[in-house]
Amino acid sequence: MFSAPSNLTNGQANGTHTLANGATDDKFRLKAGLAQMLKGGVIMDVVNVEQARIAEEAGAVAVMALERVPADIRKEGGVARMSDPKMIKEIKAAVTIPVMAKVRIGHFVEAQILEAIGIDYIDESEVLTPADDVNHINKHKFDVPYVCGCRNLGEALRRVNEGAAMIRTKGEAGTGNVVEAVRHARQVHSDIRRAQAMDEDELFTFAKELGAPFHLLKETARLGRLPVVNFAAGGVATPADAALMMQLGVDGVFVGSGIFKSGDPVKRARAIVKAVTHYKDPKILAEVSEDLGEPMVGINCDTLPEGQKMATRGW
Amino acid sequence: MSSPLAVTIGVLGLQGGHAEHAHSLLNVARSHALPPDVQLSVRDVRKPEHIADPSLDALIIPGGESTSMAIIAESMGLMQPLRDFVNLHKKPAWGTCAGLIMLANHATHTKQHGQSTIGGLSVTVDRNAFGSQRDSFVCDLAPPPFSAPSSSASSASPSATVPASAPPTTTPTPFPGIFIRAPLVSSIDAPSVLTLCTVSHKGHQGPVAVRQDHILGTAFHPELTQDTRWHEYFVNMVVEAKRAAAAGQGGSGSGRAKAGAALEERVG
Repeated sequence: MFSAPSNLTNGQANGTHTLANGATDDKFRLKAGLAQMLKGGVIMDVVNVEQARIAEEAGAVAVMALERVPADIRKEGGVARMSDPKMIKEIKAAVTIPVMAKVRIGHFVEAQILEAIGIDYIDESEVLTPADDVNHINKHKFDVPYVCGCRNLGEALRRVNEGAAMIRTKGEAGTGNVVEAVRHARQVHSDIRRAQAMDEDELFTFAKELGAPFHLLKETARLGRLPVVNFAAGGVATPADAALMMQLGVDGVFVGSGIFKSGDPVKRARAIVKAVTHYKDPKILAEVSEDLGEPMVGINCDTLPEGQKMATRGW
Repeated sequence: MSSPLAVTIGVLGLQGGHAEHAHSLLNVARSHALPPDVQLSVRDVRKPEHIADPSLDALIIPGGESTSMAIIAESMGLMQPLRDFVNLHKKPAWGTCAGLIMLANHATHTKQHGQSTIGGLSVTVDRNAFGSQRDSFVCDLAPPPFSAPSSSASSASPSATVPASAPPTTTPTPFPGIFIRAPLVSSIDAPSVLTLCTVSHKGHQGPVAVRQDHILGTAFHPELTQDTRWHEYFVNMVVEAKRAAAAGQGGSGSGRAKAGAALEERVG
């Protein structure tokens, strides 16, 4: 039986709700708890030790170790797989912050390998080429926590039901275009607000409509937020993009290609970290947005052929 | 009845589990664990002016990533105000996990170029002492001393014995200690540091809750549980400090203190 992590509240909840969240399952409590500690932070994609150190020095709360950032996966094509464990171990040895890595959707053996080398968080990611086009990994079987992507509330709650301890809205990775990230975050939050307005009778039907497990939907409606930490991902390229996602109500931000595909990664990484901390303060956002050099070029999502959209992967 | 005592506790909101701490404090305020005259309010702290505000009585530094927190604090000019708050004005402070690392005078296994800290707590802390996330664990710990709800403020002073003896007859229920990539106090570097609880887990052992005067540090996460006893303990620390400061200023102190205050007024 699922119960939400303790004291995970929605941003505005200070004192307005009396929550009695009591996660009884210790294993899940540890998994979700690490995500709670990452809130208000930026998780950066890095492809080598040097970039990992830049990310750590900039104040990233974690790094995502991978061989190619999504922008390069797009450009080069072919099958994208889990990264070489050797390179992940090198990055793990180089930094003290948590290290995450990606596995293909449904590829539980890649996940076993990452668990064996002591990775801190696994991203079952649509950015890699799916290994199973029907099932996701049964994440309850693992001690290592998982983060999974979603485009709407139903998808988010299906992943939580499979054992994900953290969610990220998908966006469209490797485009440098925030439009899909905004679409997905808005969709999740609008689904939650609809659920909050329903009585229990209606929630049964809404659960069917969303393809979400009823008990998780009910818990979501009670909390007024996803029952695990939720970051934004996929297309964040500027401090303003990051603050936009925070103001839309996510708990933190993943930045993939946006930093190391830009003109001045060190400066941009620091600026995005500050923007996430002070996401409600336009004066600070203006300061950190100044003189950042070239952003990543970016792709218009409307012109992206259907086959190249990553967000539609996931079932 | 004495007039209400307003107590304001800030939670450093740069990153990490600050909302969880605020929520736990509000749960304490809602419960009847506090002395009846205490009015507790909770505040988000992220800028130098928030820390400099004289109405801020105490600060919680939450869990999160200590490197990120230190870098953000440094870049926002927060580090010196934080050091002044804790070490110059000696206002009560509590660090959990990353917060403990920030308050410790020394930390080992820090990132490549080291990391800046607030300091004040005379201990050495080993970062990620237990390993990576798969080594995170939950275990039973001794509860904070005198954690049973007590209406008399005078009974809340910590005893130097370790662990402090519980109130008569009741055996305290253990506290659920949540350790997530947690640090461990590897050495205590001053006699005034009290060990409030220890852990022994897979070959690692040592103090995981320590107090030195007005500074409290815990390696685990009470804010990730529904158990508010550590939050009650800290609020009581703050209440005591505030009452002591008020007495020192002559508000309710001895006749001599009152005379002193009156004299000051005339001189002023």
